[in-house]
Amino acid sequence: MDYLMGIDAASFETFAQGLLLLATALATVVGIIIGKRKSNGKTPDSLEVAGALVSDKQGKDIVAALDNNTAAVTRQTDVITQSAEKVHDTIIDLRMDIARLGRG
Amino acid sequence: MITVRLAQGVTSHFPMRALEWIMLWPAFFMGVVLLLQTDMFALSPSFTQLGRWAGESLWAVVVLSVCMIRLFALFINGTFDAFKFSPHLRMFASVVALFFWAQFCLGFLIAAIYWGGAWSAVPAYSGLAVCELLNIYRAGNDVGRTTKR
Repeated sequence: MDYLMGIDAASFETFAQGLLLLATALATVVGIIIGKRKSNGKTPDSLEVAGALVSDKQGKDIVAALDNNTAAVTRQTDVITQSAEKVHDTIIDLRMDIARLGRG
Repeated sequence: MITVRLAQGVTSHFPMRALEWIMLWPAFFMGVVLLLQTDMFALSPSFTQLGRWAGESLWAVVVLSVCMIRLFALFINGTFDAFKFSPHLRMFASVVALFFWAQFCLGFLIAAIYWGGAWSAVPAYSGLAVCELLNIYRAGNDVGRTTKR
């Protein structure tokens, strides 16, 4: 035990008692906190599920699918806008034709 | 009728509290031998550190008191809902028991390192201390469950 000879028995005892106090406090606090969580019902489970979705590969797939969906909706909006513009132009042409017919 | 109720309460909770029941045995046995063998600490240098902290009879009183508190708490916890503090009593008993076994372990450890004492008791007593640490955690779980949110 030469490697401990540099430390006297009193210091060693103080260190060990401190370690014991720390372990006791940790077991007590962690035990009570986990007991409270277990009795608090579903809320922590829901949070865990939400966390798992974000970090999981399936979660990333869902985000990618949502991005694709957003892009598709944007493209669809552009097509609808272009069609509406064409209808608008056609109506203007039609109005001008009718006006010309009325004058003629 | 109350005997049946106690028996049902104890048997229904036994699987989760088996370690606490088991730990009654070494504590009770140690308390008895400390009472009977009043010169135990004089027999080996391994008891030097323990003897410095307290005599055999005081150690015996401490450990037997812990046994009684634990036994009382184990009988009533979960059986009589009106008494809300039985998990707290179990936790208290586990904390005192942990300190008791840890002091024994530390006494033997210091004696082995510094005064040439035997190492054989260190693994055994540290094992008992770790068991009590688990008992504190489990009793803490029950304290957390019964505490108002």
